Amino acid sequence: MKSNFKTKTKSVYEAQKGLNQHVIQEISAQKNEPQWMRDMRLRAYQIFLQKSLPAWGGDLSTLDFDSLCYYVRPQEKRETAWEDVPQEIKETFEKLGVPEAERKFLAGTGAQFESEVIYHSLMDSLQKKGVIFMATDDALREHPDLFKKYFCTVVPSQDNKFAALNTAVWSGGTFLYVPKGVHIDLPLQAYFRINRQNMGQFERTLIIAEEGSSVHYVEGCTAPTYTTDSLHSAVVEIIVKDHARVQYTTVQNWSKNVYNLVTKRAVAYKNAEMMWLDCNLGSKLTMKYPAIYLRGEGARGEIQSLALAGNGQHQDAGAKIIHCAPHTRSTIMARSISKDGGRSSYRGLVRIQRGAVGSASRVVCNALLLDDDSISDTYPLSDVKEQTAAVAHEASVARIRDDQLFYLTSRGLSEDEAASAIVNGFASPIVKKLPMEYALELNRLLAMEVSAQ
Amino acid sequence: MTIQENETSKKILNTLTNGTIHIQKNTHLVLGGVFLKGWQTRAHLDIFLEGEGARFDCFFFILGVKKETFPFTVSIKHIADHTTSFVVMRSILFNESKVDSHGFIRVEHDAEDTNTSFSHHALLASEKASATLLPVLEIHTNSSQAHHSTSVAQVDADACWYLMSRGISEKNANKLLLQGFFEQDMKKITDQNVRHTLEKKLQSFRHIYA
Repeated sequence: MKSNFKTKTKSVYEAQKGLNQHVIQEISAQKNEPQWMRDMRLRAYQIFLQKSLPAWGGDLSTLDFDSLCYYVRPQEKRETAWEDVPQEIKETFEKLGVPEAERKFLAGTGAQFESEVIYHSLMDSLQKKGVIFMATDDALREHPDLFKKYFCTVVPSQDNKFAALNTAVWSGGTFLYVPKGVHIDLPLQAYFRINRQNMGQFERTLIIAEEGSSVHYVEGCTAPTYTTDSLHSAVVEIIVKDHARVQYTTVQNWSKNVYNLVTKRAVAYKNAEMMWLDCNLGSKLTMKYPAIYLRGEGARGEIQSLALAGNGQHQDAGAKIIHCAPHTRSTIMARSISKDGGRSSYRGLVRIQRGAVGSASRVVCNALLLDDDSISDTYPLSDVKEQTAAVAHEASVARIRDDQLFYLTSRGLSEDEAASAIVNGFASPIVKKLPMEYALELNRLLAMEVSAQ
Repeated sequence: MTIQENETSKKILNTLTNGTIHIQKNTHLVLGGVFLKGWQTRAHLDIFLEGEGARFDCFFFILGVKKETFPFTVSIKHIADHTTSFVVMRSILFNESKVDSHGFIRVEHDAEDTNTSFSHHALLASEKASATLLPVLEIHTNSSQAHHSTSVAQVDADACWYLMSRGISEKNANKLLLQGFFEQDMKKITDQNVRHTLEKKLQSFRHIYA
């Protein structure tokens, strides 16, 4: 696989293995943070210790918090010119096609290697319009008021054990601020790479779309395969103000030794629109349930997800939409493919609170089981407390039918090609929403996975 | 309770309590229920489709009139080959009544060629009524066909408007639609005796909801 290579690097700083107050203070000191942030980290660490692991979802019994390294700084300072990035790291991202993608079709790029963002750039025209696109650590230093106003407001430390862990040890991630009325036509991209083994990556992303603005943010994630496990536990907070639109696209292709335990949440205000497009292909275990709180009248939320679970993988993904305001609308479409003993689970919640008059939600989950050893689960909860709301949910689990295979093979396709065409067709409603380059890559990956079977 | 081989068993319930039912080879259990009186603690009904060709059909109609609550879990495990489960539930909820229904369906790895369908549709007929629906599928084989659907809504305003445009008063239009909401699924009951009994029961309560 294109992303499964290791880079020999020499880090500038590595925290000792395991987690304690000293490690957290050291991370904060390395970043030269203000006292309030250091205190917040330490408080979050206490919450992390108090909270237990979730009793539901995937198997977390082999996740060893003490074996991980919580902070690795790969280079001295962040670069804005690609030429200045250290050679070995540059080669890593060049192999992954990141700078090439930037030249071709992106308005800005960020690249995170281990714990730090090593490169960030944004089109000059967008900088002039007041768009801020930088590493979250830099935003804390350069835009402290804006940062403090929104940080931890959508996903508080108390939310869950992994949100607390992230708040305690966060490093890197993207801070994106789109001023009022600014539309960013091309996507902005961030690329996350874990290179070291037993690594914990805890980026923190904060996106604020001011009134009437719009942006599409794309993130990609990869890591090389090791025999020991790594942990990726990010928190993403998004604020979509009145009449604004944010699309957040993820193409997650971590190696199969990475625990991917992520909290993603957005708040959408009056007539705002939020869309999560979430493709989970890699990782050992993913537990990720992108959420949207529809807080303003007329707000709309959409969550589309695609999961592929192969041998040794459990994709426990889902969606949460909370309708808090009148005339809010939401759509969830989840598709999953399980093969070679993999397990895909959809875990979702649609809640309509009393007073969310005239709100509506529709949820459709489809699962495809490619063999007899794989598993598919669906756990969709609908909780409706408003009489005038309408909520509908449907789900189905099926396999590739013999008559489908027969039809395609009778048209001259081999059985592999036929199965691959059916899987691509099954995934296409989600894949076609991706930027074209990603869609092509994903189709190739799906075809490769299915024919490998 | 165990339903013996090659039997067809029919049961009509007035309320739901904890229970475990084992359904043996080529046996068919039809369970019907019209529930008016709610209950406080969650009732668990566990169904095990243990014998090849076992079938479970379930038709529950729930009518919440005042402050009743209907918390329950129907858990169905497909253990043997060629087993079928077909669950249809409909709820009409007035005033402060509340339904909290979990439908848990698991198809085991060795249960080849199984078929399962679960649906629960709820209609909120007043401001303070509420519905919490959780249909769960856990499918451990690819030789199974599994489907579930749920919905929560109020009386369809378009349908009501259509009836009113045909000269029916708003009150009567609402009555007809509530009546039709339960009757939509009656035709899915293939067992004539069960269907007749449930229809009679619903008719006797029609003055409440229609």
